[in-house]
Amino acid sequence: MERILLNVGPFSINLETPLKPVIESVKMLYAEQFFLTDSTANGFFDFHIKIDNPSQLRRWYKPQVQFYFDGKLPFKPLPFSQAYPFFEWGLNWCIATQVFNYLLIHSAVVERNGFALILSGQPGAGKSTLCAALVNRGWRLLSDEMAVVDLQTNWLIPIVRPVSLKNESIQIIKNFAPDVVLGESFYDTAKGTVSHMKPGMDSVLKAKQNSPCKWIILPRFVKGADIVLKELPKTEAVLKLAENSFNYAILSSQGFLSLCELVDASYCYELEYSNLDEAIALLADLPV
Amino acid sequence: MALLSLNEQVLIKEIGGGFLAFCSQSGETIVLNPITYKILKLLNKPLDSSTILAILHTEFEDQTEQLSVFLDSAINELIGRGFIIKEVAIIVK
Repeated sequence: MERILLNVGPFSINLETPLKPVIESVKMLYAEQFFLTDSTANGFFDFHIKIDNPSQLRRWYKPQVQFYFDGKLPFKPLPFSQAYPFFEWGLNWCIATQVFNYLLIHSAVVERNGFALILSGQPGAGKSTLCAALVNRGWRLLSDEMAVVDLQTNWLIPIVRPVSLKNESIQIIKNFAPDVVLGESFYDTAKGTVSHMKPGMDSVLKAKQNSPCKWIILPRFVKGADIVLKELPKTEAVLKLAENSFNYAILSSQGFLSLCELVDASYCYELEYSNLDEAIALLADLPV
Repeated sequence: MALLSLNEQVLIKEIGGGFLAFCSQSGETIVLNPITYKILKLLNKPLDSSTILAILHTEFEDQTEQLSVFLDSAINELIGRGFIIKEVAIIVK
């Protein structure tokens, strides 16, 4: 059993696994700066995760893999081939369901010139693809999966993890940024084919730099559509982000006030796009 | 006579020229139009609906015909969603 200690943003993770595909993917896709040792870790971990086979039999017959959180099994097992994405999905679940000292919004977050841009939307809206494209054109990655909002300052906290690309997006990003480091492709998952993009060194080196939010974009990829950027009323933006938040209702009035301040300080838009270069050019000209 | 008042667990915010209310009891957030916003602001102290209507008539003169119907509907909705509370005053003789 190998033990991997990770520090991602404000969270520390104690991952135990004997599975080589998980160990190799984590070591390939997470920057070395995020690995802790027993001497650099303070002994406290937010999440104790184990990825392992559910039983001896399932090592050999139709092999499966299980996700353990604090020794408990929150999910049914998945095919062994999906062991690494299971770790990533499980870690998302851990953060989304266990963290209540930050406002968490399902979205990608990137930064440029000191200001953060939140790309929020339902799965399939094209936010991860746009996020991956932006970070390959000079924007810094804060997060692909969720905005982590500091409730005291309303600034966004980076959690620089691999960007999860799905289906056609994998080839789109390969073509868009041929030098990008992509992990293995995992086929026939619940989300289709999945591959993870390693964050660039610029994002890794600035992983402790929080940023104030300046723009909130609700993107929607529509094949063949002309690009349209439409101003979104701030009241609507609050409702949309609240819908996409994991813990807004639990944070109650603190979540409401934090979200209102975040939105009030930001320009809010709906973006319909089909071409990444057009979208990136448009986002480069957003008002400051 | 039924008195109406704002639920103490409701927060109201003006943002980007619009209005939002959040009820921490239900966790629900709603967008308010200017009339509903005014109703909630008035209900910082208990009022009956005829007093609210009279005040609204002075502020929204161009919409006086629809105000009565709108007020009944808005109050029922806001009571149902827990944003305002209906108190029944008992007169002891």
